[in-house]
Amino acid sequence: MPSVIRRSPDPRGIFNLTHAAIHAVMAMCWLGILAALSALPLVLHRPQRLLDTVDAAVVSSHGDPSHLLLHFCIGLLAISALLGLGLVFLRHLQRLVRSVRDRQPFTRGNVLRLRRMAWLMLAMELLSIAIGLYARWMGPQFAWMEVGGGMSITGLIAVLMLFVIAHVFNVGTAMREDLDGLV
Amino acid sequence: MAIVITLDRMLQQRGMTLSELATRIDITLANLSILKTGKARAIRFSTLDAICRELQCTPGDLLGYDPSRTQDDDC
Repeated sequence: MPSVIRRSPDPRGIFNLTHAAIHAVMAMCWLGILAALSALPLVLHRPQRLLDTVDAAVVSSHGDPSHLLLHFCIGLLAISALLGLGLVFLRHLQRLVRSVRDRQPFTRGNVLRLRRMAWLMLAMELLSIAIGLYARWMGPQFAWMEVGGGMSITGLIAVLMLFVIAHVFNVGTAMREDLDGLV
Repeated sequence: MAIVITLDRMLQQRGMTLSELATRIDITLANLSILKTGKARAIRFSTLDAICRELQCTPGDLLGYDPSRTQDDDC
């Protein structure tokens, strides 16, 4: 019995939804970066406001209060960097989804894109772990700094999955190139 | 690639144009052009069968082998 290849129904709705979701997450990342960067001059201008919210014991455990402020600023910059990496990742994802929507997923560009996404995800995971450890070291009042949630098994699995998918796309691209020359 | 397509010569001998052949074997002119200019990487048996049927020739009449062209591969 001959096999019948059924063309899947037009998934435009799903792609539109995915695009909207990516845009929403990107907007949240931009808001986060804006909030973190605008907090820096505020804290540096009026450091007492921050110190008032922290237990005196925590402040004294860091020695000089200016050290605590410095760590706070480093934390904010690290969070901004994490969100920035997230934005680059989402931008790659957006372009990948667009090429899949246009039914041209198996391209050399997408293979490179997926590899970059895997490395970006790895960098985000490592940075997230570092921020988590840093926040824990700074004290309970700085638990909010754990924006990435610290170490995540799902994140590390996602990194491996991205490398595997990049390899799958590489094979798919080679097959498509062969098909392009088939008459 | 050392494989040489002699479709051009066969068409000339038969007095047939490329577009006429494309219509007869139900293949796009663009695809047949790719085959004629030797840019194709592979050919379906069904395509070969249709060309041989219309040109009344054998696959050997359409394909040749020129070892001196091996170096051109991947260029």
